[in-house]
Amino acid sequence: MSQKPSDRRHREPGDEEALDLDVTPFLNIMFMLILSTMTLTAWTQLAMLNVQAPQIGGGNVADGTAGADAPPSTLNLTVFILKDGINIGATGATLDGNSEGRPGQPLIPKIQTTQGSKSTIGYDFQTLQKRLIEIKKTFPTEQSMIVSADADVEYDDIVHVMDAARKSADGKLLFPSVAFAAGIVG
Amino acid sequence: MAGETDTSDGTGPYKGWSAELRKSEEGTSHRRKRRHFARTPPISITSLTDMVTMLLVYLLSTFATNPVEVNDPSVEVPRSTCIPDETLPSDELPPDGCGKIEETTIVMVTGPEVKRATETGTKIQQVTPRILVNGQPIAELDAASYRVPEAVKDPASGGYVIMPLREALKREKAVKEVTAQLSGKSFDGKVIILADRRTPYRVLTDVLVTCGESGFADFRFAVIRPE
Repeated sequence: MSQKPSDRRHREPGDEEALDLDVTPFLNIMFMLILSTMTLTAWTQLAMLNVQAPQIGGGNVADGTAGADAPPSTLNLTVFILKDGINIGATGATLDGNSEGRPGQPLIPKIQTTQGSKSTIGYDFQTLQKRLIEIKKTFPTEQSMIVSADADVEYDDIVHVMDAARKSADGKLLFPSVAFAAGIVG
Repeated sequence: MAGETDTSDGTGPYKGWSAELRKSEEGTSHRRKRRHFARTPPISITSLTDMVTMLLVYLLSTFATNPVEVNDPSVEVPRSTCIPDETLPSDELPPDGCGKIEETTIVMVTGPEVKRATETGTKIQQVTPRILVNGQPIAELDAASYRVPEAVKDPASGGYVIMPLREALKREKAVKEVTAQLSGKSFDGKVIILADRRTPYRVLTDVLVTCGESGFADFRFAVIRPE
Protein backbone atom coordinates (compact mmCIF):
# COMPACT_ATOMS: atom_id res chain seq x y z
CA MET A 1 0.00 0.00 0.00
CA SER A 2 2.95 2.29 0.59
CA GLN A 3 3.93 1.80 -3.04
CA LYS A 4 1.09 3.94 -4.25
CA PRO A 5 2.29 7.23 -5.74
CA SER A 6 -0.12 9.11 -3.56
CA ASP A 7 1.57 7.58 -0.52
CA ARG A 8 5.08 8.17 -1.71
CA ARG A 9 4.48 11.85 -1.97
CA HIS A 10 3.92 12.09 1.74
CA ARG A 11 7.14 10.36 2.68
CA GLU A 12 9.60 12.44 4.65
CA PRO A 13 13.19 11.77 5.83
CA GLY A 14 13.38 9.74 9.06
CA ASP A 15 10.18 7.92 8.30
CA GLU A 16 10.09 4.46 9.96
CA GLU A 17 9.48 3.04 6.49
CA ALA A 18 13.29 2.67 6.27
CA LEU A 19 13.08 -0.15 8.82
CA ASP A 20 11.37 -2.38 6.28
CA LEU A 21 14.70 -3.78 5.02
CA ASP A 22 14.21 -7.33 3.84
CA VAL A 23 16.88 -9.48 5.54
CA THR A 24 15.54 -12.85 4.35
CA PRO A 25 18.05 -13.35 1.45
CA PHE A 26 20.87 -12.27 3.75
CA LEU A 27 19.82 -14.87 6.32
CA ASN A 28 19.57 -17.49 3.57
CA ILE A 29 23.16 -16.83 2.54
CA MET A 30 24.29 -16.96 6.18
CA PHE A 31 22.68 -20.33 6.78
CA MET A 32 24.15 -21.73 3.58
CA LEU A 33 27.63 -20.52 4.58
CA ILE A 34 27.26 -22.06 8.04
CA LEU A 35 26.16 -25.38 6.57
CA SER A 36 29.04 -25.48 4.08
CA THR A 37 31.71 -24.56 6.66
CA MET A 38 30.33 -27.13 9.09
CA THR A 39 30.43 -29.95 6.54
CA LEU A 40 33.93 -28.96 5.43
CA THR A 41 35.45 -28.67 8.90
CA ALA A 42 34.05 -32.02 10.03
CA TRP A 43 36.47 -33.74 7.67
CA THR A 44 39.63 -32.20 9.00
CA GLN A 45 39.70 -33.50 12.54
CA LEU A 46 43.30 -34.61 12.20
CA ALA A 47 45.97 -35.48 14.72
CA MET A 48 49.60 -36.46 14.36
CA LEU A 49 51.56 -39.52 15.38
CA ASN A 50 55.22 -38.84 16.04
CA VAL A 51 57.59 -41.33 14.48
CA GLN A 52 61.30 -41.91 14.96
CA ALA A 53 63.64 -42.11 12.00
CA PRO A 54 63.82 -45.46 10.21
CA GLN A 55 66.89 -47.63 10.51
CA ILE A 56 68.78 -49.48 7.84
CA GLY A 57 71.06 -52.23 9.10
CA GLY A 58 71.09 -50.77 12.60
CA GLY A 59 72.44 -47.37 11.53
CA ASN A 60 70.38 -44.23 11.79
CA VAL A 61 69.88 -42.69 8.36
CA ALA A 62 68.65 -39.34 9.50
CA ASP A 63 70.90 -36.54 10.56
CA GLY A 64 68.15 -34.99 12.65
CA THR A 65 68.04 -35.06 16.41
CA ALA A 66 64.59 -36.58 16.76
CA GLY A 67 64.59 -39.30 19.39
CA ALA A 68 68.07 -38.42 20.61
CA ASP A 69 66.74 -37.83 24.10
CA ALA A 70 65.13 -41.26 24.26
CA PRO A 71 66.98 -43.69 26.56
CA PRO A 72 69.15 -46.20 24.73
CA SER A 73 67.22 -49.36 24.11
CA THR A 74 68.62 -52.70 25.20
CA LEU A 75 65.51 -54.74 24.57
CA ASN A 76 65.17 -53.88 20.85
CA LEU A 77 61.54 -54.82 20.92
CA THR A 78 60.46 -55.42 17.35
CA VAL A 79 56.99 -56.08 16.01
CA PHE A 80 56.99 -57.92 12.70
CA ILE A 81 53.81 -57.51 10.70
CA LEU A 82 53.65 -60.44 8.29
CA LYS A 83 51.08 -61.25 5.65
CA ASP A 84 49.30 -63.76 7.90
CA GLY A 85 49.84 -62.34 11.35
CA ILE A 86 52.15 -60.60 13.81
CA ASN A 87 55.37 -61.77 15.48
CA ILE A 88 57.16 -60.08 18.36
CA GLY A 89 60.94 -60.11 18.59
CA ALA A 90 63.58 -58.78 20.95
CA THR A 91 67.34 -59.04 21.38
CA GLY A 92 68.22 -62.68 21.00
CA ALA A 93 64.76 -64.14 20.63
CA THR A 94 61.67 -64.03 18.46
CA LEU A 95 58.28 -65.05 19.68
CA ASP A 96 56.40 -66.81 16.91
CA GLY A 97 54.20 -69.84 16.39
CA ASN A 98 57.08 -72.21 17.11
CA SER A 99 57.37 -71.02 20.70
CA GLU A 100 53.65 -71.52 21.14
CA GLY A 101 53.57 -75.04 19.76
CA ARG A 102 52.16 -73.95 16.41
CA PRO A 103 55.10 -74.33 14.03
CA GLY A 104 55.00 -72.39 10.80
CA GLN A 105 52.43 -69.93 12.09
CA PRO A 106 52.86 -66.41 13.39
CA LEU A 107 52.52 -65.59 17.08
CA ILE A 108 49.29 -63.68 16.64
CA PRO A 109 47.44 -64.98 13.59
CA LYS A 110 44.88 -62.90 11.72
CA ILE A 111 41.35 -63.26 13.01
CA GLN A 112 37.95 -63.01 11.45
CA THR A 113 35.76 -60.20 12.72
CA THR A 114 32.09 -59.91 11.93
CA GLN A 115 30.38 -56.57 11.78
CA GLY A 116 26.75 -56.99 10.96
CA SER A 117 26.56 -59.04 7.77
CA LYS A 118 30.11 -58.19 6.72
CA SER A 119 32.98 -60.31 7.95
CA THR A 120 36.59 -59.35 7.39
CA ILE A 121 39.90 -61.01 8.14
CA GLY A 122 42.33 -58.69 9.86
CA TYR A 123 45.12 -58.45 12.35
CA ASP A 124 44.37 -59.16 16.01
CA PHE A 125 45.40 -55.89 17.61
CA GLN A 126 43.81 -56.68 20.97
CA THR A 127 45.94 -59.81 21.47
CA LEU A 128 48.98 -57.81 20.36
CA GLN A 129 48.24 -55.23 23.02
CA LYS A 130 47.85 -57.94 25.69
CA ARG A 131 51.26 -59.32 24.74
CA LEU A 132 52.81 -55.84 24.84
CA ILE A 133 51.33 -55.18 28.30
CA GLU A 134 52.99 -58.41 29.53
CA ILE A 135 56.32 -57.30 28.06
CA LYS A 136 55.93 -53.83 29.58
CA LYS A 137 55.49 -55.45 33.03
CA THR A 138 58.84 -57.21 32.65
CA PHE A 139 60.63 -54.15 31.19
CA PRO A 140 58.92 -51.13 32.77
CA THR A 141 61.51 -48.59 31.62
CA GLU A 142 61.39 -49.51 27.93
CA GLN A 143 59.82 -46.85 25.72
CA SER A 144 60.80 -47.72 22.18
CA MET A 145 59.59 -50.22 19.69
CA ILE A 146 60.63 -51.02 16.14
CA VAL A 147 58.04 -51.87 13.55
CA SER A 148 59.02 -54.00 10.61
CA ALA A 149 56.51 -55.15 8.07
CA ASP A 150 56.01 -57.11 4.91
CA ALA A 151 56.24 -54.94 1.80
CA ASP A 152 52.51 -55.24 1.08
CA VAL A 153 51.20 -54.43 4.57
CA GLU A 154 48.84 -51.47 4.43
CA TYR A 155 49.54 -48.17 6.15
CA ASP A 156 46.21 -48.50 7.97
CA ASP A 157 47.41 -51.66 9.78
CA ILE A 158 50.69 -49.97 10.70
CA VAL A 159 48.81 -47.08 12.30
CA HIS A 160 46.69 -49.58 14.22
CA VAL A 161 49.81 -51.38 15.49
CA MET A 162 51.12 -47.99 16.66
CA ASP A 163 47.78 -47.37 18.38
CA ALA A 164 47.97 -50.72 20.14
CA ALA A 165 51.55 -50.06 21.23
CA ARG A 166 50.98 -46.50 22.45
CA LYS A 167 48.54 -46.83 25.31
CA SER A 168 46.73 -49.60 27.12
CA ALA A 169 43.01 -49.29 27.77
CA ASP A 170 43.59 -47.91 31.27
CA GLY A 171 45.73 -45.09 29.92
CA LYS A 172 49.19 -46.46 30.76
CA LEU A 173 51.91 -45.77 28.23
CA LEU A 174 53.32 -48.91 26.66
CA PHE A 175 55.87 -48.32 23.89
CA PRO A 176 55.02 -44.91 22.42
CA SER A 177 58.35 -44.27 20.73
CA VAL A 178 57.98 -46.11 17.44
CA ALA A 179 60.68 -46.41 14.79
CA PHE A 180 60.49 -48.15 11.45
CA ALA A 181 62.89 -50.68 10.10
CA ALA A 182 63.31 -50.24 6.38
CA GLY A 183 64.35 -53.86 5.97
CA ILE A 184 61.52 -55.96 4.69
CA VAL A 185 60.70 -59.17 6.48
CA GLY A 186 60.13 -62.22 4.32
CA MET B 1 -11.74 -18.68 14.08
CA ALA B 2 -9.84 -18.37 17.32
CA GLY B 3 -7.00 -20.52 16.00
CA GLU B 4 -6.61 -18.35 12.93
CA THR B 5 -6.46 -15.04 14.70
CA ASP B 6 -3.65 -16.10 17.00
CA THR B 7 -1.10 -16.73 14.28
CA SER B 8 0.34 -14.73 11.48
CA ASP B 9 2.34 -15.80 8.48
CA GLY B 10 3.73 -12.33 8.00
CA THR B 11 2.11 -11.77 4.63
CA GLY B 12 -0.86 -9.74 5.65
CA PRO B 13 -1.82 -7.55 8.54
CA TYR B 14 -1.22 -9.03 11.94
CA LYS B 15 -4.40 -10.73 13.10
CA GLY B 16 -3.28 -11.38 16.63
CA TRP B 17 -4.66 -8.18 18.08
CA SER B 18 -7.72 -8.37 20.20
CA ALA B 19 -10.97 -7.11 18.78
CA GLU B 20 -10.78 -4.09 21.05
CA LEU B 21 -7.40 -2.99 19.85
CA ARG B 22 -8.35 -3.46 16.23
CA LYS B 23 -11.45 -1.43 16.71
CA SER B 24 -9.51 1.36 18.36
CA GLU B 25 -7.02 1.30 15.55
CA GLU B 26 -9.65 1.50 12.88
CA GLY B 27 -11.12 4.40 14.71
CA THR B 28 -8.00 6.51 14.60
CA SER B 29 -7.56 8.81 11.69
CA HIS B 30 -3.78 9.17 11.96
CA ARG B 31 -2.42 7.62 8.84
CA ARG B 32 1.10 6.76 9.92
CA LYS B 33 -0.03 5.11 13.10
CA ARG B 34 -2.43 2.84 11.25
CA ARG B 35 0.26 1.76 8.80
CA HIS B 36 2.57 0.97 11.68
CA PHE B 37 0.01 -1.23 13.34
CA ALA B 38 -0.98 -2.98 10.14
CA ARG B 39 2.55 -4.05 9.26
CA THR B 40 4.00 -5.01 12.64
CA PRO B 41 6.31 -8.00 11.99
CA PRO B 42 5.29 -11.13 13.87
CA ILE B 43 8.78 -11.75 15.36
CA SER B 44 11.96 -9.73 15.60
CA ILE B 45 14.73 -11.41 13.63
CA THR B 46 17.47 -8.95 14.60
CA SER B 47 18.73 -11.14 17.45
CA LEU B 48 18.60 -14.18 15.21
CA THR B 49 20.73 -12.36 12.62
CA ASP B 50 23.22 -11.40 15.35
CA MET B 51 23.51 -14.99 16.51
CA VAL B 52 23.92 -16.35 13.00
CA THR B 53 26.63 -13.80 12.22
CA MET B 54 28.58 -14.72 15.36
CA LEU B 55 28.27 -18.42 14.58
CA LEU B 56 29.50 -17.79 11.06
CA VAL B 57 32.51 -15.78 12.21
CA TYR B 58 33.44 -18.51 14.72
CA LEU B 59 33.11 -21.28 12.14
CA LEU B 60 35.07 -19.36 9.52
CA SER B 61 37.92 -18.65 11.93
CA THR B 62 38.23 -22.30 12.99
CA PHE B 63 38.06 -23.27 9.34
CA ALA B 64 40.79 -20.81 8.37
CA THR B 65 43.21 -21.77 11.17
CA ASN B 66 43.06 -25.50 10.38
CA PRO B 67 46.53 -25.89 8.85
CA VAL B 68 46.18 -29.17 7.03
CA GLU B 69 43.55 -29.80 4.44
CA VAL B 70 43.01 -33.04 2.62
CA ASN B 71 42.00 -31.80 -0.80
CA ASP B 72 42.68 -34.88 -2.87
CA PRO B 73 39.59 -37.09 -3.29
CA SER B 74 41.61 -40.32 -3.42
CA VAL B 75 43.21 -39.91 0.00
CA GLU B 76 41.59 -41.80 2.84
CA VAL B 77 43.50 -40.92 5.99
CA PRO B 78 43.67 -43.84 8.47
CA ARG B 79 41.71 -43.68 11.69
CA SER B 80 43.57 -43.78 14.97
CA THR B 81 42.78 -43.80 18.68
CA CYS B 82 45.16 -40.83 19.07
CA ILE B 83 43.67 -37.98 21.11
CA PRO B 84 46.18 -35.12 21.45
CA ASP B 85 46.68 -33.44 24.80
CA GLU B 86 45.35 -29.93 24.14
CA THR B 87 46.98 -28.47 27.24
CA LEU B 88 50.50 -29.34 26.14
CA PRO B 89 52.51 -26.46 24.68
CA SER B 90 53.13 -26.91 20.97
CA ASP B 91 56.93 -26.85 21.23
CA GLU B 92 57.01 -29.77 23.63
CA LEU B 93 57.14 -33.38 22.49
CA PRO B 94 54.09 -35.29 23.75
CA PRO B 95 55.05 -38.30 25.90
CA ASP B 96 52.66 -40.61 24.11
CA GLY B 97 53.79 -39.49 20.65
CA CYS B 98 50.37 -38.15 19.83
CA GLY B 99 50.38 -34.47 18.95
CA LYS B 100 48.22 -31.71 17.56
CA ILE B 101 48.30 -30.99 13.88
CA GLU B 102 50.46 -28.02 12.93
CA GLU B 103 51.54 -26.23 9.82
CA THR B 104 54.70 -27.58 8.24
CA THR B 105 55.94 -29.41 5.16
CA ILE B 106 53.47 -32.02 3.96
CA VAL B 107 54.39 -35.08 1.94
CA MET B 108 51.23 -36.64 0.61
CA VAL B 109 50.85 -40.13 -0.86
CA THR B 110 47.52 -40.42 -2.66
CA GLY B 111 45.43 -43.53 -3.01
CA PRO B 112 44.69 -45.91 -5.87
CA GLU B 113 41.02 -45.10 -6.40
CA VAL B 114 38.48 -42.32 -6.19
CA LYS B 115 35.00 -43.13 -4.94
CA ARG B 116 32.20 -41.03 -6.31
CA ALA B 117 28.57 -41.27 -5.33
CA THR B 118 26.36 -41.33 -8.41
CA GLU B 119 22.67 -41.99 -8.95
CA THR B 120 23.31 -45.66 -9.68
CA GLY B 121 25.49 -46.20 -6.62
CA THR B 122 29.12 -45.67 -5.73
CA LYS B 123 31.36 -45.41 -8.75
CA ILE B 124 35.00 -46.35 -8.27
CA GLN B 125 37.52 -44.86 -10.61
CA GLN B 126 41.10 -46.10 -10.70
CA VAL B 127 43.77 -43.42 -10.48
CA THR B 128 47.54 -43.57 -10.35
CA PRO B 129 48.85 -42.96 -6.82
CA ARG B 130 51.16 -39.97 -6.64
CA ILE B 131 53.58 -38.37 -4.22
CA LEU B 132 53.05 -34.67 -3.59
CA VAL B 133 55.04 -32.14 -1.57
CA ASN B 134 52.88 -29.26 -0.32
CA GLY B 135 50.35 -29.99 -3.02
CA GLN B 136 52.84 -30.09 -5.89
CA PRO B 137 52.99 -33.45 -7.73
CA ILE B 138 56.49 -34.91 -7.50
CA ALA B 139 56.40 -38.51 -8.61
CA GLU B 140 53.91 -41.14 -9.75
CA LEU B 141 53.79 -44.66 -8.39
CA ASP B 142 53.46 -47.69 -10.58
CA ALA B 143 49.74 -48.41 -10.53
CA ALA B 144 50.02 -52.14 -11.29
CA SER B 145 52.55 -53.08 -8.62
CA TYR B 146 51.73 -50.17 -6.24
CA ARG B 147 55.41 -49.39 -5.76
CA VAL B 148 57.73 -46.49 -6.49
CA PRO B 149 59.20 -47.22 -9.94
CA GLU B 150 62.84 -48.31 -9.79
CA ALA B 151 63.68 -45.73 -12.49
CA VAL B 152 63.19 -42.78 -10.13
CA LYS B 153 65.10 -44.35 -7.25
CA ASP B 154 68.73 -43.70 -6.43
CA PRO B 155 70.59 -47.03 -6.78
CA ALA B 156 73.41 -45.73 -4.57
CA SER B 157 71.03 -45.64 -1.60
CA GLY B 158 70.20 -49.33 -1.80
CA GLY B 159 67.01 -48.64 -3.74
CA TYR B 160 65.25 -46.56 -1.10
CA VAL B 161 65.72 -42.89 -1.96
CA ILE B 162 63.20 -41.44 -4.40
CA MET B 163 65.24 -38.93 -6.42
CA PRO B 164 62.51 -36.40 -7.44
CA LEU B 165 61.23 -36.35 -3.85
CA ARG B 166 64.74 -35.74 -2.55
CA GLU B 167 65.20 -32.79 -4.95
CA ALA B 168 61.85 -31.30 -3.95
CA LEU B 169 62.58 -31.69 -0.24
CA LYS B 170 66.02 -30.12 -0.60
CA ARG B 171 64.43 -27.06 -2.22
CA GLU B 172 61.81 -27.02 0.53
CA LYS B 173 64.52 -27.26 3.17
CA ALA B 174 66.38 -24.27 1.69
CA VAL B 175 63.18 -22.20 1.88
CA LYS B 176 62.40 -23.40 5.41
CA GLU B 177 65.92 -22.61 6.59
CA VAL B 178 65.66 -19.02 5.35
CA THR B 179 62.25 -18.48 6.97
CA ALA B 180 63.46 -20.08 10.21
CA GLN B 181 66.50 -17.81 10.22
CA LEU B 182 64.34 -14.73 9.66
CA SER B 183 62.15 -15.62 12.63
CA GLY B 184 65.16 -16.39 14.80
CA LYS B 185 64.62 -20.14 15.08
CA SER B 186 66.56 -23.08 13.78
CA PHE B 187 65.27 -25.47 11.14
CA ASP B 188 63.39 -28.27 12.92
CA GLY B 189 63.06 -30.82 10.11
CA LYS B 190 59.40 -31.50 10.79
CA VAL B 191 57.42 -33.22 8.07
CA ILE B 192 53.86 -34.51 8.00
CA ILE B 193 53.27 -37.73 6.09
CA LEU B 194 49.71 -37.69 4.84
CA ALA B 195 49.20 -41.06 3.20
CA ASP B 196 46.26 -43.05 1.98
CA ARG B 197 45.35 -45.97 4.23
CA ARG B 198 46.09 -48.54 1.51
CA THR B 199 49.66 -47.36 0.93
CA PRO B 200 52.00 -50.40 1.18
CA TYR B 201 54.75 -50.46 3.77
CA ARG B 202 57.43 -50.51 1.07
CA VAL B 203 56.29 -47.16 -0.36
CA LEU B 204 56.07 -45.75 3.15
CA THR B 205 59.64 -46.71 4.02
CA ASP B 206 60.88 -45.27 0.71
CA VAL B 207 59.22 -41.95 1.56
CA LEU B 208 60.50 -42.00 5.15
CA VAL B 209 64.09 -42.79 4.13
CA THR B 210 64.01 -40.05 1.48
CA CYS B 211 62.68 -37.51 3.99
CA GLY B 212 65.35 -38.53 6.50
CA GLU B 213 68.11 -38.20 3.96
CA SER B 214 66.89 -34.78 2.82
CA GLY B 215 67.09 -33.44 6.38
CA PHE B 216 63.46 -33.88 7.40
CA ALA B 217 63.90 -36.37 10.23
CA ASP B 218 61.02 -35.45 12.53
CA PHE B 219 58.20 -37.45 10.97
CA ARG B 220 54.57 -37.17 11.85
CA PHE B 221 51.78 -39.33 10.49
CA ALA B 222 48.53 -37.51 9.90
CA VAL B 223 45.61 -39.57 11.18
CA ILE B 224 41.92 -39.00 11.83
CA ARG B 225 41.31 -38.66 15.53
CA PRO B 226 38.26 -40.20 17.18
CA GLU B 227 35.23 -37.94 17.58
